[in-house]
Amino acid sequence: MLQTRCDSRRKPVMLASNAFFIVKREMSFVCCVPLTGKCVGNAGTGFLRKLSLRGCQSIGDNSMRTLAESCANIEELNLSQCKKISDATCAALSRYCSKLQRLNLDSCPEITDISLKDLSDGCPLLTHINLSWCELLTDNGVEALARGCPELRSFLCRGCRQLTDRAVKCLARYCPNLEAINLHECRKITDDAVRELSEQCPRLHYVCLSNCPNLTDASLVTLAQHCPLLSVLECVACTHFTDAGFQALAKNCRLLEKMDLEECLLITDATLIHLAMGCPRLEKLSLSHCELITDEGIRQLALSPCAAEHLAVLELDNCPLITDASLDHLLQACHNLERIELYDCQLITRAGIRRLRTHLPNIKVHAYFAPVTPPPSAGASRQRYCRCCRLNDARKGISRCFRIGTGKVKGS
Amino acid sequence: MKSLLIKRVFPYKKILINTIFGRCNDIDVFLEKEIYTDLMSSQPQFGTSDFAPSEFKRSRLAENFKQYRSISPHTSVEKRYIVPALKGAVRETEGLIVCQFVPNFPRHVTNNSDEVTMQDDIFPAAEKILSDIENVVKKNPSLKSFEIIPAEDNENKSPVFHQEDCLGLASWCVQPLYCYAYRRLFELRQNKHRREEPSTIARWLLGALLLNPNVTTFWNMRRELVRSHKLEASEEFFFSRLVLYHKPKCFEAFAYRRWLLSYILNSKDGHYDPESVESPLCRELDIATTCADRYASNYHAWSHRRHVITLRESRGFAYPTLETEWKNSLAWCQRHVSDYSGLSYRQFLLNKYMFELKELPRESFIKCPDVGEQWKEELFAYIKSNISDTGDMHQLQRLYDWMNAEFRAITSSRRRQRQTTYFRALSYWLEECRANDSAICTYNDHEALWCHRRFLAYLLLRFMASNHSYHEDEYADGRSVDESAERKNVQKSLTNDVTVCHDFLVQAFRARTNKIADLATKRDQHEKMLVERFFKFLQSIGLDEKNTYTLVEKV
Repeated sequence: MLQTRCDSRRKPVMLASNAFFIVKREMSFVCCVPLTGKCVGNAGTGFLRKLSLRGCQSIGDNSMRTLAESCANIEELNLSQCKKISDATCAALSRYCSKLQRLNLDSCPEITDISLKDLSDGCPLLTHINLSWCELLTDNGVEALARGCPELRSFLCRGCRQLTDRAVKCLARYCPNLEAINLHECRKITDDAVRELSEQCPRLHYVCLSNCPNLTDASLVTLAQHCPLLSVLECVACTHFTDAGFQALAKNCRLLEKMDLEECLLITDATLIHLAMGCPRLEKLSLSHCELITDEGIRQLALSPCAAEHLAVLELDNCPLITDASLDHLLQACHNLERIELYDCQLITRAGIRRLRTHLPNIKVHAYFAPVTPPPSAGASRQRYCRCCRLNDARKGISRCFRIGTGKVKGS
Repeated sequence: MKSLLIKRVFPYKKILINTIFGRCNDIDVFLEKEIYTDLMSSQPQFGTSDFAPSEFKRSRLAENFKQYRSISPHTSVEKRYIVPALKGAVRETEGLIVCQFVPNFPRHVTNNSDEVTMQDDIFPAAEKILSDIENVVKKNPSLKSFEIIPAEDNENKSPVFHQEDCLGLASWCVQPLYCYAYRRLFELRQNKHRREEPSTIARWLLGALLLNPNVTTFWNMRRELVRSHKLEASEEFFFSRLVLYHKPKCFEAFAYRRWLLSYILNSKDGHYDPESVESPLCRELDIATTCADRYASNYHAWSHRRHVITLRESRGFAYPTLETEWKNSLAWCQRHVSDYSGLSYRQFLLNKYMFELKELPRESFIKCPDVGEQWKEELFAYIKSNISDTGDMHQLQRLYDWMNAEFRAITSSRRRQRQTTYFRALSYWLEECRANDSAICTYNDHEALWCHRRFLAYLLLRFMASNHSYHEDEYADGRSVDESAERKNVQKSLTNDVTVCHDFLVQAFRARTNKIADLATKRDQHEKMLVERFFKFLQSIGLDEKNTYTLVEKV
């Protein structure tokens, strides 16, 4: 497996030579802004299986058409942030690249429903598609795609604000193999859609429902009932979720590893107790802005089996009730803790953090405290030379050395 | 076992390493990976020093601190092996010596051994704070001020404050934050091969430039990002405005704005309507005013203004109009009496309006038909109010009447325009002179005002010299031969009139000066000295009492 990483400073002419590419099966040109259509057209060969053109903003429809014509065997194509491409590209792909399996169209703002219709006609083998921030997409496009590509396993559409329940229901009906779905910022989604999705797609293991403010505990309950394989759940700012929903979830989804509960404002310590009991694999837990969480919840979490073995990342920023006591509970139990976020927890003190650090030397503690600064030099006089270093009194001498700026000393 | 770990060497410090190798024969030297490759790649340089290549082989490569610790858990080095020049940069942790070579900027050093091992993580909150700032700046484009808020104690509270278009940063985080951004940016700059997301770079630049905008390298990095379309030019105007609010005298920021201006004006897709009232130039003038207000004697702001006015002409913008510029700058100067920076800008404008803009009429009066007369009357009124001698008065009255008659008799539009131009130019001078008179009368002891008066005197002389012969040009071209004899007489008298008019003006100026000089000498001892100096200057340019009288007598 060869991979070409291209540097934007190199001349595109170099890249254009066929000899340079002919043996490659995988190529990636990340953020090559000067890379233009001609090069890409030349780059294409029947051998090419994987191609990444992420961030190549100069590439347009014409060059993509040439590429699609010459790379009939391509299976994986990443076009994220190629802002110039439009429906014509997808038309060409559907016409020539029937073997396409993975397509990433992240942040291509000109893509519309027509693209999805073309893709559903020409690329029935699609398994992974990323349509994030293609804000023109509507339910019709998604429905066509779902009908045409029954093999779909991953469907990511962050920020497609026009999508409604119908789109999600179509996906659920026609793509039973769906494993990963991201509906971040699809603000019109309701519980109905999530129920249909979880009933029809039992293999789901990645679900992102962040910023869907209409969802309630009913969604969590249906997910819990039908998707036991769930391992990642992101529900940032789902403000109607309560302890009851997470109780149901924790009871049934025992494989949960990562949970992002940022700004689920209603959850309390009870959620933490259920998670601690029900999810032994929990690795990453984000409780940012969950303002009702207290030390007791953290204590329960620390007592759980997940804490000792798996818990690596804990985000507690903007939890105003958390105190140093929480840190003391954590440092006793969580040996694998790698990172803890404590921004804006105003009851946390330096001393608490210091204790945590001494127990868990490899931990990254993120708080707003300034780094420990050397105390200002006691004497008023400013010595230009470092006369204080004595061999037998190393510590003291060195600590004084710090105070004298390195800039002053180096010239002496 | 004795060992030495060397971290982060910059190329110009290689000689120091040579010295260490030269002296530390029984120490195992460990180098960070980057330094190792760096040294190996520049072997020839080592050949010339006192460092033997065989020594170099003994130096090992320490991938990182942890590995190093596992190699030799209990090591110690005696201080005498450390070259004196390095002492400041050396510290000891857990029995091993770490040498750190730094660029001139003082790096933050701590005693805490935990933090020493994690050099890159010394201030983990930095990224968070930077993104907090970035969020505020992005969300609120009408942000207009940035301040450092004094706060010593921090309580795990965000140092970023945002209220009603104002951004504040607690002072405790300034030093570590700047150090962080500075170090990151220079690391990036020095090994170009390492890739970083443009948005991350932009964030670092934002932090570094807000706190210390006087680093041209950072501005250049921003220019690069703008040119590769990673940053929006229009957002850059907001950002640099914020910087200029905090540091109103920052030349780099002004230069950056000038570059941005030419960038957006030259770009293909940005079509600016030169007639539009909302031109980008008006915004620049606003900024320049704010900066001049916020920092006394801010010549950078005024030279920025000059640049904008020059740009306005070369690009043919209708707005900002010269007339509003003239008024606004006058208003500013009246608010800041002692600030010569504004006055020097006025001098620039005066020069421009009196000598360069012969054709352009004063915009606001363009529709008024007898505007020439109005200026003329103002001029004579000024002369009259400052001349006491009755004989002169009489002569002046005659001149005035005659000129009026002449003016009405003029039929040729070109000559009319000539005359209008002449009086227009004088009207600017007169306005400025009046403003100066009243300012000196009102405010005690401001050297700037007297210096400005010198310029006015000098300008008057220059104007007179350049206008001596303008009537002659007028008659020389395109006149039929038979008329010329008769015309010559008229011409002669006209030339005389102009001279007389000039003399009266000089006389009036002298009289006025004497009046305010009397006032000033009486009220303040220091100002008396200023007045004396002013008269000395008049003498040196030939505008003193004696010369004036000779001029008048000649008539």
